[in-house]
Amino acid sequence: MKHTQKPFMAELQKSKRSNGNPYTATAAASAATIPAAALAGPVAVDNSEVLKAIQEVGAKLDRFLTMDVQQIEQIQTEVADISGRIKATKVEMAALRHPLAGEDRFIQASQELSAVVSSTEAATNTIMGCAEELEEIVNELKASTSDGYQKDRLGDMHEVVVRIYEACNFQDLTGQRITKVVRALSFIEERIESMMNLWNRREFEAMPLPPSVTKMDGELELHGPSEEAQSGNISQADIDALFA
Amino acid sequence: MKILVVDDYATMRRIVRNLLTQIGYTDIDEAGDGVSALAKLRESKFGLIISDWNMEPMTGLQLLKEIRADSKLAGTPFIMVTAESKTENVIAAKQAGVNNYIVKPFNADTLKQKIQSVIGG
Repeated sequence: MKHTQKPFMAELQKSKRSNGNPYTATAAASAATIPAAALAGPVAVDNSEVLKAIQEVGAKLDRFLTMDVQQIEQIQTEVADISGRIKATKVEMAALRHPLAGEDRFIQASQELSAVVSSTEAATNTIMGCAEELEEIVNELKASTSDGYQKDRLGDMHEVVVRIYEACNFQDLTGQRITKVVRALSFIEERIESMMNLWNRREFEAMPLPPSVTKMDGELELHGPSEEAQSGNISQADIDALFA
Repeated sequence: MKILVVDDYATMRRIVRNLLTQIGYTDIDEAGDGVSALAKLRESKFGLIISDWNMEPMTGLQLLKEIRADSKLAGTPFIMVTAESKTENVIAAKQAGVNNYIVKPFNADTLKQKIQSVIGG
């Protein structure tokens, strides 16, 4: 195939000045620069060494590229795995303390436990009060009776009253144990808060809200015992008024 | 003998008071924490202190140390009544000068026995 070299702008201008064909002029000039040996025909050259070297380099490059791709794929898999685990952890963290959740489970749990302490304390005081009254009655009867058997039985009752006092120890111990649980909850809450602060808190807002732990009966929530003072609760007096 | 019962739980003070009454001690005063106990001890003479450990702002152990460091109060018998039952706690209380140690829950007999071992009789 004959190849015509495109002329430069300077050659075109020169040709224009001389009114000649620039393409012919360029071809003629090129022919003038071709060595005589080239014009005589192709020269046989042994390039097998070069080809062999190129093949070796190619093989090395192939091995390198193959190995690199495998490593990259492995890293990509691991990064995807880590990313998945981080996302799953964030979802779990959000489930524990979702920024948009209406109920704070830690505060709820602490309040429930505090209510347990208050209730048992109140119940213990009532039991103690009853035992004290009983003791007074027993002492009164003991002082007014002369019958040996009756005095003995009143003495037995007195011992029972003492056992009631002793049994009331439980309130202090349960109170202390529950206080420990409340402290542990508070510690966990602080750690979750810290972990969430390490990330962008807004990320957690976009996560699915955790399912409610409140027991349901159809569409009605069953909260169990709760303080009368809490919002949404109704007193017995108000209930009675509804049924009056 | 006048006894000072120190506990931050009013119910517990009531229990100890009733048990003390059962075993024959009727002159009893109460304090809700170490600080108010110390104030009462400096106001009047007590023959025995029965104190809880875990209280705020002054614990039973701190109260004990304050008492032992005060020349006027140092000789007052002190019984610790507490849920703290770790060996190191008992040892620490003993080293601070406690006369006896009762682990909750306890009964009237234990209380009586410990009081007698401390004050004699």
